[in-house]
Amino acid sequence: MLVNLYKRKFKVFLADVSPDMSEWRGRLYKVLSNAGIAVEADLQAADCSVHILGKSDIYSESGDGYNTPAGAQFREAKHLCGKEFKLFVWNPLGSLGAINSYINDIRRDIVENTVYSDRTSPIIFVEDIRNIMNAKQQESRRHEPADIFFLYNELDSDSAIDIYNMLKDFQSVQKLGISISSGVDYNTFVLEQLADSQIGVVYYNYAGEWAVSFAQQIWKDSGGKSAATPLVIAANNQHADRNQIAVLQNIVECIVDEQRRIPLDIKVFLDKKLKK
Amino acid sequence: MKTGISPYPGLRPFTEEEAIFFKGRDLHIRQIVKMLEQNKMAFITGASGDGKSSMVYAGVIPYIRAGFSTAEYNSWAFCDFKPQRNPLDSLAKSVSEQLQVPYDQVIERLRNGFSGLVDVYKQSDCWAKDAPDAKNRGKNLLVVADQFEEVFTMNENFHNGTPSEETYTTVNILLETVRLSIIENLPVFVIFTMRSDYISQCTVFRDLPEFIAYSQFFVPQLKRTEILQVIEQPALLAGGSVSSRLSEVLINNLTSGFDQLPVLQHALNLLWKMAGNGSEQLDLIHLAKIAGMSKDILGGEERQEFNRWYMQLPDYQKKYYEHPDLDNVLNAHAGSLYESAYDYYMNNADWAEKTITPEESKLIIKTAFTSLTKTDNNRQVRNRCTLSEITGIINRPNITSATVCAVLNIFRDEDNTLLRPFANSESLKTQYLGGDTVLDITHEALIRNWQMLSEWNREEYENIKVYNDYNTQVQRWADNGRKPEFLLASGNYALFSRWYEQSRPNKYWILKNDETQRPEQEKIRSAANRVALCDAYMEQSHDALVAKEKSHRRKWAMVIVGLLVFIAGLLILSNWAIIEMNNAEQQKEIAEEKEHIADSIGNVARNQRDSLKILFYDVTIEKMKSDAATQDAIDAKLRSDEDRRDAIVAKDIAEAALDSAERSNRRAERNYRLAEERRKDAEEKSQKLSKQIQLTDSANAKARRLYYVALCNTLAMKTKNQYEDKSLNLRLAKTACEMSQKGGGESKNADLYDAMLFAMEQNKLIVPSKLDGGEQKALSIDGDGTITTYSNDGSTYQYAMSPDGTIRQTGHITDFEGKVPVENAIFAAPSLVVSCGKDRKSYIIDLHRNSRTPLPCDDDYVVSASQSPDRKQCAVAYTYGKVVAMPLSGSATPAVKDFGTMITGVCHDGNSIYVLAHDGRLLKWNPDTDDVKTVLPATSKQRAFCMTQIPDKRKLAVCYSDGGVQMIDLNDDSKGEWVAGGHAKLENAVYSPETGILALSSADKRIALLNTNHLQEKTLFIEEHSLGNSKVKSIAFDNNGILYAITDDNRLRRWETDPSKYASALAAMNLPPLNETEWDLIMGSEFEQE
Repeated sequence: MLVNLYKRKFKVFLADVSPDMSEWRGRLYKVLSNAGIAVEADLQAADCSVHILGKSDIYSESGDGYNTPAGAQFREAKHLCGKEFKLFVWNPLGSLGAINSYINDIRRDIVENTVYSDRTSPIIFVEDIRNIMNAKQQESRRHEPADIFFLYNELDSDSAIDIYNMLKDFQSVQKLGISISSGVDYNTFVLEQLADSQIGVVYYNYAGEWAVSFAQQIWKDSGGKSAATPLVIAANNQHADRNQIAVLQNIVECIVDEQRRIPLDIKVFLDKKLKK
Repeated sequence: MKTGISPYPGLRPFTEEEAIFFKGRDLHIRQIVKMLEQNKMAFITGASGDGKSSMVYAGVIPYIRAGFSTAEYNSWAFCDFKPQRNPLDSLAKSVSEQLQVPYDQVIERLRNGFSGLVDVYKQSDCWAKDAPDAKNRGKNLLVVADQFEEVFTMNENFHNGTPSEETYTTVNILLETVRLSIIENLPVFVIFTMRSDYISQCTVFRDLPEFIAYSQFFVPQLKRTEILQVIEQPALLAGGSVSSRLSEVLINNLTSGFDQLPVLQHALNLLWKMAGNGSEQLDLIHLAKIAGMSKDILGGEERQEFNRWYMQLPDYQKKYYEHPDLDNVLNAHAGSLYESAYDYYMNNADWAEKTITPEESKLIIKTAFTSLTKTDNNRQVRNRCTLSEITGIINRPNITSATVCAVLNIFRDEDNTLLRPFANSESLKTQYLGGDTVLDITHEALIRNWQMLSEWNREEYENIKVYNDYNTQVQRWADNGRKPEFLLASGNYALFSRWYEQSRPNKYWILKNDETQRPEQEKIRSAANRVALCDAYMEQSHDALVAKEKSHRRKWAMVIVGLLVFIAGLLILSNWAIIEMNNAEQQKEIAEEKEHIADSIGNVARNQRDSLKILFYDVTIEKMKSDAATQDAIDAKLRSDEDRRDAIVAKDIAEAALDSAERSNRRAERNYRLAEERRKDAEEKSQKLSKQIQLTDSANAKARRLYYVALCNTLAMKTKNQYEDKSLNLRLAKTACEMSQKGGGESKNADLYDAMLFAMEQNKLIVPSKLDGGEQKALSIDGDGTITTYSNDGSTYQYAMSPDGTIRQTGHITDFEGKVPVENAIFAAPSLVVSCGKDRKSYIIDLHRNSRTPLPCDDDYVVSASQSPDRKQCAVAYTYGKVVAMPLSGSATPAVKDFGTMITGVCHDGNSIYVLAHDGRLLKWNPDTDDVKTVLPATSKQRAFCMTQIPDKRKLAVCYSDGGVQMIDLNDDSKGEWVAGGHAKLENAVYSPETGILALSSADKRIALLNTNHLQEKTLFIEEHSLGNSKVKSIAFDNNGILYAITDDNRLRRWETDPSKYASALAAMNLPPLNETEWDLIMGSEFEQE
C-alpha cells in the first residue's frame, strides 16, 4: 500500500530546553500529542529523544548550561543512541536564529541514528520523526542454509539441472528456476535465501538478456559491493554475449566457460569465499 | 571488477544500465508493476524533476526484465519513445526496431489508428499464440510513452488548443492498444510518463481522461527515510560510503518543491567525484568544495584544508563560493563551465578550426542556451534545436556549426552532462556531430537554477517583446501598400534601430519564435521574407527620415535668403515710399469720398440679405413638418405589421388547440383499450396466484430444509474450534449430523465431513501411525489389505491393520539397493515397485518373486510407472523425456522412446502407453509401431503433474497445476469433463474402483475426494489439519474404499471416504445433547435450538 498508516507505537522523550526555547517545547509537545505519539518522561523507557537547540549553548562542555538537566539529558541520549534508540536534534530557529558555533559542532558530530533537522515547522519535524520511527526493519524469514544458492531461468532448466545435480553431490545447494509466467514473488524469497547462503550463482545458457537484469536487480537489492553474500554469474561460453558479460563484469565476478567445467568453477569460487 | 563507476548520474535520468544504483523508489516500482499486471497500463504523473523517467527506465523495466512480474511469455520487447516533433513517427520507429517489422509496414498500419499497434505486434515474431514452446518463443510487449507532455509543449504537435493529426492518432492507438489488451488478455502493456501540470490539457483527447482515472500513478514525494536511501545506498552499492552528518546536511538543505531530486542528484554526482570517485567517504568538506555548504560548519583542520584548496581556484570560480548552498551547486558548476569553455575548446575538438575569440565563445554559449529554452504559458521549458539552427541564429560568418559544436562540447562531456547528446572525452575530441544533430538541455532544473541563463532568458524575453512590437508596425506598413506615412517616426526609429543593431534578428531566430503550424520549408521561407521586410522597413524608415531632414534644412535656407532679399528690398522701397507718400496724401482724399459711396451701397445689400434669411427659415419649418408626417406614416405601417403577426399567432394557437383536442380523444380511446387489457391481466393473475399458493407451500418445506442445512453448516464450522472440553467437538459434530438429517440428509457436505474428521482427531479417534525404517517413499495396498511401503534405503515393509485402527509390522524385505540411497520409488502395481537410486540407476522389483531387474535407462530419475492391464509389461517414465516399455516376462527387448520434454506421468493401457508432459501435452505411444499421437496439446497456463486411470469407466484423469482435472475417454481419446480438484498443484492421484472415488493430493496439503460416479456432486476435502500439516508423499485405496496416505513426517494415515460411516459412528456414541446455555454460547441467539 502506498499510504503509510504509521501503525508503530513508540515513545518520545522530550528533553528539557534552555528558557528561550520553552515555548517551542510546549508547541512540539502539543503537536506530538496530536500525532498520537506518546511523550515519555523517562529517557531510558523511550524509543527516541528530541533535543531542541536555542540561542544558548547548553550542550557543549564549554557551554553555559553544560551541567543543567538539558545538557545531561543530551549526553545520556548520545550514549543510548543506536539501532534501538534514535536521537533527534531540532534547531527550529534554523538560519533565522543566530548561527552559533556550537550548532556547527553538533552538526559535525552527527553519527548514525542521529537526526538533525532545522525545519521551522514542528508539524514537518514530527512528520519526519514518525516516518523515521516507522521505517521498516528488514524482517527476514529463515530459510534452509546452503553453501550455494543456484538460480537460473526456466528457459535454461535442462542444462541448469545438470549443473545442479553435479554440485549437489558435493555441496549443499538450494536451486530456484525462475519462470516469468508463474506469478511468484521471487524477489523476497531470493533475497532471504541469498542471506542464508555462502554464495549466490546466477547461471544462464540461452537466457542472457534475463540474466543481466536479474543479476543486477539481485545485486542491488542484496547490498551491492557491501553485500555479505557474493554473487557470481556462470555462463555457457557457447552462448554468452560479450556485451552482456561486459555489463555484468562491472559489478560481479563472471565465469564464462564450457558447460561441463562450470560446476568446478563454481566450486573454486565457493572455496575462495570460504577461505576468506 | 571495475572500480570508480559513479553511482550518481547527476542531472540526467538513470539509464537502464544504471538501474543497479537506483534506490529510494522500491515500493513505488512494485506498485506500478502491480498496476500494469492488473490494468495493462500505468499513467505516471508527477512534478518536474521527481524522477518519473528514472523510475521507469531504472526501476520498472529492469524489475520486469529480471522476471519479477507475471506475464504470458518469458521474454520482453520494450518499445519506448518520446513524442518529440512527430509522435506517430517516433512510435513507429521504436516499434519497427523492437518488433523487427519494416518501418514502412509499421507506419502504414499505425496511420489508420485504433488496432494498428496490436496488429503489428500480432504480425511480428513476438506473438507466439498456440505455437509449440510459445512461452519461450513469444515476447511480451511494453510500450513506454516517455515525456508525454511533449504532445502539448511541441508546437508541431499542439497548436491553439488543437492536437495535430499525428498526435491524435498516436493517442488513439495507445488507448486502443490498452483496450484490446484488456479484452483479449494480450501480453501488451503501456506506460505513459507526463508532468502533472499538463493533466488538464489531456481532456482534448477523447477517452484519455477516463484511462488516466482508470490507472494513474501520481509519483509521491520522497519521505525522509527514502531520501536517505537515495543519498547513501548508491555509494554503498558501489563500495563507497556517505557520512551520516553529510546526509543530514543534505536532507536539511534540500528545499521542498521543484527540482528537489535533480539538484540533489547533481550535487551527489559532484560529491562522488570530489571524493576521488568514492575512494574517500563522502563528507562535509566535499560539499563545501562544490559550493554547497558554508565552510563555517567545517572543523578546524578541515577548514584549513578547504582554505588551501580554495586559494588555488581561478578568480572567476571564487565568486560562486560567496553564497554556498545546495541550490547553488548547479549554478556554480554551469557557471564554471561557461568560463572555462574557451580553454576546453582550444585544447580539445581537434577537428574544429580555432578561429574565434573568448568573447565569441561566450556568445555561442549564450545564444545556444537561450535558443534551447522557450517560454510556454509563463513557464521556462526546454526547446530542442539543431546545431545548424543555433549557428544560423548566431549568424556570424566565422562561426560554423562545427565551431558551435566544439564550444558546447564541455557541456556534453559525460562528466558534466548538462547538454544532450552526451559523449565521453575521447569521442568529444574526435567526433563532430553534424549540423542536423538535435541538442537538448538535460533537465529543466538547469534553466531554473543557473542564474546566468535566467538572466539571458529575461533578455531574450524582452527581445521577443520588442520584436513583436516592431513586427506589428512592419506588418501595418506592408498591409497599407508600404505607404511612407506608415514608416517609423523619428522617436520609434531611434528605439527600434538601436535594438535592431544590437539584436540583429535573422531568419533562424524568427523561425525559432514562429509558433504557427506550417510545413518547415514554408516557415523558413516566411522567416526569410520577414527578415527582408524588416530590413526594408528599417531602411526605408531611415531613408524617409533622412529625406525629411534634408527637406527641412532646405526650407530653412530658403527662409534666410528670402529674409536678406526682403531687407534689401525694404531699403529700396523706403526711398520710393517717401516719394509716393506725398502722392498718397492726395489719393487719400479721393478715397474718402469713394468710401461714403460704398457705405450706402452696403446698407442696401444688408437689407436684401435679411429678407432672404427669413424666407430660408420658413422653408426649413415646412421641411420639418413634412418629415414628421413621414415618420407618422412609418409608425402606422409598423403597428399594422404587428397586428398582422398577432393574428397569425392567434391562428396557430387555435390550430394547436384543435390538435390537442384530437390527441386527447385518441388518448381516451387508448386508455379504454388498456383498461380492458388490464382487466384480463388481473383475471390471469388471479389464476396464477392460486397456483403460487400451492408453490409457496412446497417452498416453505424447502426453506425449512435449507434452514437445517444452514444449521448443520454453522455447527460444522463451530466444531472446528479448539475447545478445552474436546468432547464438545464430538457433540457439535453429532448435532451437525442430526441437523443434516433433518435437512434432507445430503451426504456430501464437505464442511460436515471435515468437521467430523476434526472432532475425531481431537478426541484421538483417528490417530496416525508412525512408520518404521527410513523415509518412506511409496505406498500400496493389496487385495487382502496388506499395506506395503518402500523406504529410501531400498527396504520394503509390510503392515496389517488391526481392528482398533493401529498397524503392526508383518514383514520386512531386504534392502536391494545396497548403499545407494533411493531418489524415487513408485508402485506400478501392489507388488511391483519401480525404484531409482540417487546414482540414477533404476530397477523393477517384484515383491512376490523377490527379484530385481535393471531398467535400460541409467542417466535419469524415474518419475512415474504403470503396469499394463494384462500384467505383461510395465511402462516407466523418466524426468527428462524417456519412457521405457519393459516386458515383465519372457525375452522380449524393452522399447525406449525419448520424448524430448519433461515427463510427469505415464499410464499403460494395454496396446498403448499414455505419456503426460510437464507442459500439459498428453501423448499416446504405441511401442510396437512407435507411433505417437497427440491427445491433448500443450497448455499455456497450467502444467500437468500426474494422472491415473479409471479402468471401470475407461477414462483417464489428467491433473494440472491449477487443481483442475481433465477426463479423457480412453475409447476414442476424446476430451471429457473438466472438474475442479482444488486450487493448487495436484501431485498424486489414485482411484478406488469399489467406491468410484478419485483421491487427489495437492501442494497446499489437502486431499480432494471426487466421486466419478457423480462428477457434479460436491467434492469432499481432507484438510491440512487431518494431514498433521505434512505433505502427502503417496496415497492408496484398500478394497473397502478406505484411503491411506504416507506423509513426509513418516506417518501412515487412513480415512473413510464415505462420510455416512463417520456419521453412523458418531450416532452410535453416547453423547449428551447440547444444553440451552451451550447452544446460546456457541451458536448465538439467532439460531433457535431444536
